[in-house]
Amino acid sequence: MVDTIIDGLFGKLPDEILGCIVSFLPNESALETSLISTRWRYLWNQVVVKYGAIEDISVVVAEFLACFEELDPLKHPRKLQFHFDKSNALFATIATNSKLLLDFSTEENENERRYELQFKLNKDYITQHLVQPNFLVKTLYLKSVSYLTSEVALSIVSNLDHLQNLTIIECNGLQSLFIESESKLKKLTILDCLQLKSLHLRTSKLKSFRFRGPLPWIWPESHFNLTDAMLDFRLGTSCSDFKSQDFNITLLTIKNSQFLTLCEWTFKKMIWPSSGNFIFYKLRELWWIDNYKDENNIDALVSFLKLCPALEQLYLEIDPICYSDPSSKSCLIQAIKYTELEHLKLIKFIGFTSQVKEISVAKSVIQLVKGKPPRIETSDGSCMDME
Amino acid sequence: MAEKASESSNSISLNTVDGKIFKVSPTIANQMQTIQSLIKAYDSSRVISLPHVNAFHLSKIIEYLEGKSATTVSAVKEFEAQFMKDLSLKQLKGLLIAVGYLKVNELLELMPKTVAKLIENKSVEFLRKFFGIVNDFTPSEEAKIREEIAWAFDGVDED
Repeated sequence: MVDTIIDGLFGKLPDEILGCIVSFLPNESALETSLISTRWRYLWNQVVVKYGAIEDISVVVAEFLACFEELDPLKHPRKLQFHFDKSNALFATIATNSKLLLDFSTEENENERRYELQFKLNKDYITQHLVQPNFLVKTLYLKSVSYLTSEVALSIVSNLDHLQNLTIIECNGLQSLFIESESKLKKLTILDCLQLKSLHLRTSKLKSFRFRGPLPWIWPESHFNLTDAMLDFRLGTSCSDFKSQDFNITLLTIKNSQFLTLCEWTFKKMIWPSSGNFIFYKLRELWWIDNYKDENNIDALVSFLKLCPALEQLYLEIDPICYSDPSSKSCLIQAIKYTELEHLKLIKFIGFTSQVKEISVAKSVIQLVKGKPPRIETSDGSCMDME
Repeated sequence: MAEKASESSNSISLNTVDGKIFKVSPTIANQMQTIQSLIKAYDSSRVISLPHVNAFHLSKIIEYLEGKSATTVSAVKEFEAQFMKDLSLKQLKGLLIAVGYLKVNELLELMPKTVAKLIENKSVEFLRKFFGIVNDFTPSEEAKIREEIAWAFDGVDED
């Protein structure tokens, strides 16, 4: 056969053969194939559509999980669409590496009614499954749960005995969240749950906590040392009368972290007043968010850097809408014992529109550096020369 | 190989697209599902035409089906490895098309496995070229899909 004919026919191989090729690919490489063309995407996107009542969801999801074969991801559909009540639907998607996404997004107006969730995971006793799953969910993404679907979400999640990573996204109306997992949960991510006011954690094995949204009242009941903490409270607080004491227990969980994301106001208001001689000995990467509106803002950054002797990489993000706390005063610098940054290798600016601002911030930081000056990358991707 | 099969009295004649006649034993022919179903419909004296298969590919398929009847598991493995190694990329692609058309189940597992090895961890652009496929997504569609599947890649480097 002529090459061009072979190439033409090769692209038109039957679905079964393409599916078979995909099934021999390693996980992520396999999913990449959905980007090749519409036809390949279709291979991935075959959806089981079912209709039923809200009470049936847990069983339907359990059955769906039971069918999936990790080693042959295209053999059974990876997507489930379950319609219940009149206008509600659940989308469940499986990815290899034991991941499950449950998406309750609706096109209806978002239900604003408040609700709470209590997840008790990894219970000692083994849940009696109706269908023995051969797909054990270790990572769960829970998206757009509302008051109406909270019960269902709860019943599905309580059957997942092997959960290690939990991500909760855009759950409108979620006001109070309690998570108990003394043995397995290592990673918890909560993004854009804007009504969340209270977060109670009984999770002694937690290593990574990533949060984006207004600061809720956080109660880490069992002590855990986070390696990775993202405290993106750029939207401010969920309630106006927080005091720094309210943050003390949380502070203990992040003091040994290696990767930390922090907002200027959070340091000034919640950490600084109670930190005393607190040193973040293990911190290697800091992502610092600020609006840099106030000339004195830089003081908070400089003060914090003096608590981070092991810092290697510093990311400085400017966000004009980042909250600033009007009440906290700036009189920070003088009080701190001088710590030099001996290991700082990189300063990277993100989102700055003015290079003048970047230079002025860089100058303040550089003064703390001892030894070889770090590489400085500006927001537009170029390299800043401080000579 | 094929000649040996022709000794058998009830052998089946296959005519490739480039006009070569192969005589194969029923045991071999029955391992090609497409031919198996044709045998039932045809009377045995007729030659079955294969419009999508050329002589090289058919001879390879027969070589494989005869060769893999080796005695031990390790001998089969060795034979399979050598068989795949001897094929150029062009030959591999052509053979997979023929195997797909003839539905040779034995090879329908081995060959995709070999192809998967060639394309694993390659870029989407490489995959498109490999399969001769034109990207029919608009850039915004492609970006949307990337976003949609991003969650599945999250934390890939951990564990």
